[in-house]
Amino acid sequence: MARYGMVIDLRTCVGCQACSAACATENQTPYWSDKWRTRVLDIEKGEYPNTGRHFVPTICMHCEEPACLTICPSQATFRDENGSILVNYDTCLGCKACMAACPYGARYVYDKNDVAKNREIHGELSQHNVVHIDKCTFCFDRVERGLEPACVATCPAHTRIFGDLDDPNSEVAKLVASGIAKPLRPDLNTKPKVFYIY
Amino acid sequence: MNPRKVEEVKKKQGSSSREVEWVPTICNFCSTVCNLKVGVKEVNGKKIAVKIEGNEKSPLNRGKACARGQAGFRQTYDKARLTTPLIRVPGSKRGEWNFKPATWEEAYSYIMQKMQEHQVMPWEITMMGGWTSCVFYMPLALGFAIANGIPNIVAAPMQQCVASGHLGTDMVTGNFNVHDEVLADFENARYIIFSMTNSGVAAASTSRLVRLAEAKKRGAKIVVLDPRLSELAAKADEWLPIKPGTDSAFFLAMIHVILRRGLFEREYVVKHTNMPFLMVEHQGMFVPLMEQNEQGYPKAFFVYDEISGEIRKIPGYFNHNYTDVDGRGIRPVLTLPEGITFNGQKVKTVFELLIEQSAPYTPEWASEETGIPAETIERIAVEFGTIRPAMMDPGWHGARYENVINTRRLQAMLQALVGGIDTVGGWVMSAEYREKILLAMEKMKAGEEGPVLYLPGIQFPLKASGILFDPNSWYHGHPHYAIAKVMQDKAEGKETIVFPAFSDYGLKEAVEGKLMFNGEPYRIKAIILNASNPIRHYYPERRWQEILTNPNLALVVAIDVLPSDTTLYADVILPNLNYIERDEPFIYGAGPSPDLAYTTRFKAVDGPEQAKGTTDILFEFAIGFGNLEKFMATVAALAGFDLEDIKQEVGKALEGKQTFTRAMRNVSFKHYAKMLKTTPEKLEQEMREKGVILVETKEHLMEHGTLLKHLPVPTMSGRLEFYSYLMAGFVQMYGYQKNWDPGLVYIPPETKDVKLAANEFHFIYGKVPTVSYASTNSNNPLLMALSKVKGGKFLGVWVNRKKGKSLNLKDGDVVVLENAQNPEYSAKAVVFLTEMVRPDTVFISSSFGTKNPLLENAAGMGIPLNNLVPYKVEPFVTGFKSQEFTVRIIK
Amino acid sequence: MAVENSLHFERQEAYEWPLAVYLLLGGIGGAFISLSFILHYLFSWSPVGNYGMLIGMGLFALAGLVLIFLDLERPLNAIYSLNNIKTSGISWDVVLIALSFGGAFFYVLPFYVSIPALEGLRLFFGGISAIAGFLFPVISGGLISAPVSVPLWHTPLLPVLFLINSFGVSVSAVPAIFGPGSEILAFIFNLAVFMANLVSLGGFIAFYEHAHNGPVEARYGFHEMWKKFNFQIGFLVVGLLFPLLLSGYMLFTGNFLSWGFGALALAQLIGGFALRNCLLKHGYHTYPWPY
Repeated sequence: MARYGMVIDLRTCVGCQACSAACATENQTPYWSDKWRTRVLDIEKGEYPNTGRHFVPTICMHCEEPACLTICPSQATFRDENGSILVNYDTCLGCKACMAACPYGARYVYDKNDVAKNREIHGELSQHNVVHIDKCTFCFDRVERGLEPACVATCPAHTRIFGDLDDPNSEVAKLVASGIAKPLRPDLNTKPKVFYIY
Repeated sequence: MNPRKVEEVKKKQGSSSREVEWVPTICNFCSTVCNLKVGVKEVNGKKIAVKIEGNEKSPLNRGKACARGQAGFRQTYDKARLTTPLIRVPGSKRGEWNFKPATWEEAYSYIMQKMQEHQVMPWEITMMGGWTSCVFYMPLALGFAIANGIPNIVAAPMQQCVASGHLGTDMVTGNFNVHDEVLADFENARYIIFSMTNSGVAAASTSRLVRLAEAKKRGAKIVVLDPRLSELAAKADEWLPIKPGTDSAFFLAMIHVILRRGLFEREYVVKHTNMPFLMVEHQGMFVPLMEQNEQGYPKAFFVYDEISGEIRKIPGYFNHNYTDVDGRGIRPVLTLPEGITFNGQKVKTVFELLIEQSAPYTPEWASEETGIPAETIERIAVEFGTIRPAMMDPGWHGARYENVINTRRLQAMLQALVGGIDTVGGWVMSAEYREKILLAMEKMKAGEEGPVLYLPGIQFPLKASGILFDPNSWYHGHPHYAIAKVMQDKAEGKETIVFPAFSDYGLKEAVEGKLMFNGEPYRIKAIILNASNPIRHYYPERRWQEILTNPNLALVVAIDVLPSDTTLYADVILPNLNYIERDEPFIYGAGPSPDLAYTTRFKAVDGPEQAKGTTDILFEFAIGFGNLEKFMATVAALAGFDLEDIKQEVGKALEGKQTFTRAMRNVSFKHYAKMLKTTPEKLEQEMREKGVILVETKEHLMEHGTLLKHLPVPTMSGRLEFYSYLMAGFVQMYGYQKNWDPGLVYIPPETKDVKLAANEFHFIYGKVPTVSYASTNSNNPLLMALSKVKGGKFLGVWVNRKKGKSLNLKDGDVVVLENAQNPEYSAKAVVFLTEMVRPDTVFISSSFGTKNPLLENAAGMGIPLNNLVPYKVEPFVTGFKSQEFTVRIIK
Repeated sequence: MAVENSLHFERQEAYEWPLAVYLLLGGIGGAFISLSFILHYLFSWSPVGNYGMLIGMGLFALAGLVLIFLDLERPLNAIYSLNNIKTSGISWDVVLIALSFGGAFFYVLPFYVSIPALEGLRLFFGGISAIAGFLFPVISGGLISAPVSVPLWHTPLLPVLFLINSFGVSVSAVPAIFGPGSEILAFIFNLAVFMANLVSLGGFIAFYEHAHNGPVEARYGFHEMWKKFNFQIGFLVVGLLFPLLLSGYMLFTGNFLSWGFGALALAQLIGGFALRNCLLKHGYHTYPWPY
């Protein structure tokens, strides 16, 4: 039992999209349809020469008060023992209410074409064989094997830090406790477990 | 949901890396050469690669991998993969994809038949290699050329990158070798300045990125000079959108300020650089005061010692200036007392010369050149000079402007001024380089010469190109065609090139039959391309189309993995195994890693049945040419391998018991096992387990092998050279040109005085993190998906928003970019309006523009850079002046 | 109105036109059922009690089919839709449809077969059906408005607008289909339509206020919606102003045009679809990122 969370340090992200590549490969997500569990926004702000270019990795926040979970009619969206929000592919209706309800744009439809294309690419090794709403799983399968989530493990800029928020000695817990890592839009009352340093 | 149900649901959802077998490899998607591991699963008895991750044991990339590195295995499954030898269908033209599948025997006999038919002599062949030849097959590629009497090698990274950029830094530090790029110690630096680079760090060289990120976390201040807001500039505390091509003016002004304000690391400069060395007046010029041996190497220099108040002689090749030739302790001065003369001649120190030379380069002057306020330049110079450790990033890609070699050299000088060569928070040199210097010192003491490939720093390219350049080193008396071209230029009284190392200079003329040597035409009749794609990554595309379609060219052979744009022009295409499908023939150092480590590749999956490794192809060619014995002997001599071992292993290969790759690998493992005091079997096992074997850490190495502190660098003097003796030598041999001025000089970009019309812009290009420079990895489906996410930012032309609006341009407009000086060079482009670029400059990415329709994900995406760039090279090393023009936007 | 950052906002893509159809049909279905029950119960208006209920059931059935086959990615998994009755608005919707439909079924059944056992429970079934029918547009509006993720929708005005529109259509459709019954009923129907549209106008003005002064994402969506022909003509003119003016005219002149109720029903139906569809189309997600 843990309470997994992530800290994303925007000071170091260069927008290389290694995380998106790692996730897409680890989880066979439909990159061919421009759908990603994690992406990196590349935001231009201000006027030349006072222009800012900001890279913001996005991912499911695994909220403690997840809007997607309350709205799901079939309990296909559920919370596991570590507080991560997952989707049961088998009972998902594909009603997309969770997509509408998520304030962080973390979900998409793994649709019929995507399932077929994934099958074409991965054959027997295909991880997605039915249509469902897809989202980040905090790579529970890797975490159970003692590894970090794929996006974290590969991030060359050490932008992503993963750990147990309940373990006061973890880097994430320390960063959150210090106040330097903050949740985004706490006013939405979803209590995200992904925190940003910016 | 109840826990049991949760368990059940989770069990159904796996991930690619679950239950994989990890096979170590080295990344081939850019020359950062990260250590990776390939995750392999077995399906119906066939191994399939499903994931690539960084190797945690790597001192380079520290377990991380960028998007390209991770997407690499998809190349194996690319639909366009070359799977069998192909021979051009008779009657079809080069440039058309019209081939018929063939066996290897047919392909080889076709090649040999063409060679005989057209009586192709060895010097009429040109080998062309990409960076992989350089990094992974140097002994074989060089050995193959030498053994077969082929003096002509074109090495792809030289004119675009290594020669045209690194040479500048290396003139100060003496490096310039395979992996002379410095993996700087960003994480311990507190102030870092970057110029003309994005690829080198943020876009993305993982080994540098991991270190820079650490620096950011530790609060280092970062300054980036770039006309556009690149990925790297986005991370800067201060982004200075400098006028394109004027970075050297910025650095000259920094040197001006730092020298005058005394903000340099005085003891370091006095002790380890040639700043205190005396110059003597000679025919109105100041030249180095030194004694030379017969070969022109310095035997002794002179300094003024403040302890004794005398001029003292110091050793010609040494790591410091604190003892004279008699072993007496001295303290040289930078500024001479009044009235000091040497044998009645006027003298001054290099330092004093630099003070004089830098006088005009004030911040105000630089402000005019660069468009950056003088106060800013002055402030940055002061910050750089006072904050320690400060770092001037060495940069990576070169070319672009005639002045880039000089710019990189000024950067190295600034780094030397703050005492940051081979120090914590500075440019820590690679362990391989350090090892080579240690070996060279041993050999020097023993009075012998080591194997060519173990020559440290600039000694290697001087030696290697010396072989190619010298007619006397070839039985047929033909040097590299570039040298023939240089000789012809000289005879015709034309300006020419000083050091066209591994260059394409004169190739076109040779193919066209216009190159004369010793009164006879010097022809090139055959080109063998190994993992090289000149149609895309040489300038301009048209030149290569003309070369490759010239009927004088009897044969074009392309060895490749994917049908690059260049393979369209081949007569024979030989399918290559890619990097995850082959065991490499050698053991390698871990690139520019400061820790001493060894690594190699292991085959992770089977490639196409008919594809072969480069080693095997080269051996089979050598056999075909009848030069196997010579080939083996040359490789042994170059790399220091035991010839008997090679013969024995190759013998087994000839009997069909193993591949030639395996044969060389066995030799290599035996060689290294001896060195590391283990058995080849144990070594192989350990390598397979770990991927990288760490032999000695950087800290440990530096205790006894820190450059300058303990060891001289491979410059002429062994010290860091603010006044370059090598360049002074060029002045002697070829006459003075700014390009090889041994001191301080400013070379303005040619575009400086262009009066820009309303729709005219300066032109810059750069790299993106998802695709390597002009490579076929843009066809990788995942990488192309990641590139498309960025839209016009990656695939379009950046135009300043306000400026664009004044020209009635909208986002997504399709326009023509036309070279304003050479309007025959133009390309279609999609407009990306942005606040991230100077109003007088447009930017495109150099990563795209692939045309071969077989590469279905990449074809037609982005802008082909080399459709805009004419053939213009600078006179030092034929570096491409690939940004030295302006472009017009035509709606 | 000033809209910053507009380039970065992402349009929600979960709810498209099928959901608008579902909301419209379901809402009108519910309204039809409760209205029919009231008219039958209070005025003993048998044909309405019988056929009005059937029309409502038909609309519900159609709404359900639209949802299942046009909106759900996996129609067969609709069987799991009651799994989360605790918190999910969608589960509630399904329950409401089932209750209202089932109640109406048993309410209508005695028109065709005599089942003495049902007689005593008729009022109960009718009541259940009417209450559930009434609640459906409220809850389905609430389903859209509840999450914070789409600020334009995040207002209690949404269920109110949906509810009023649904009843406006029904109140116009009943006299149009069954005839106004009597002078007094005709007057009451007309008054109800007029009041409904008056409230709707008020509701819309309040909604305009919300969207205009609310979060920037809502402002952006509303701004975009405001510019659209569908919204201006479909909802504002046809769906709101026209019924208001027509019913007002009929009410204050006492001149009940023969085509009046039919026109009112059709106009509000069109307006109702335009409103729901435009709202869904211009739902932009919250912008949670710090830059």
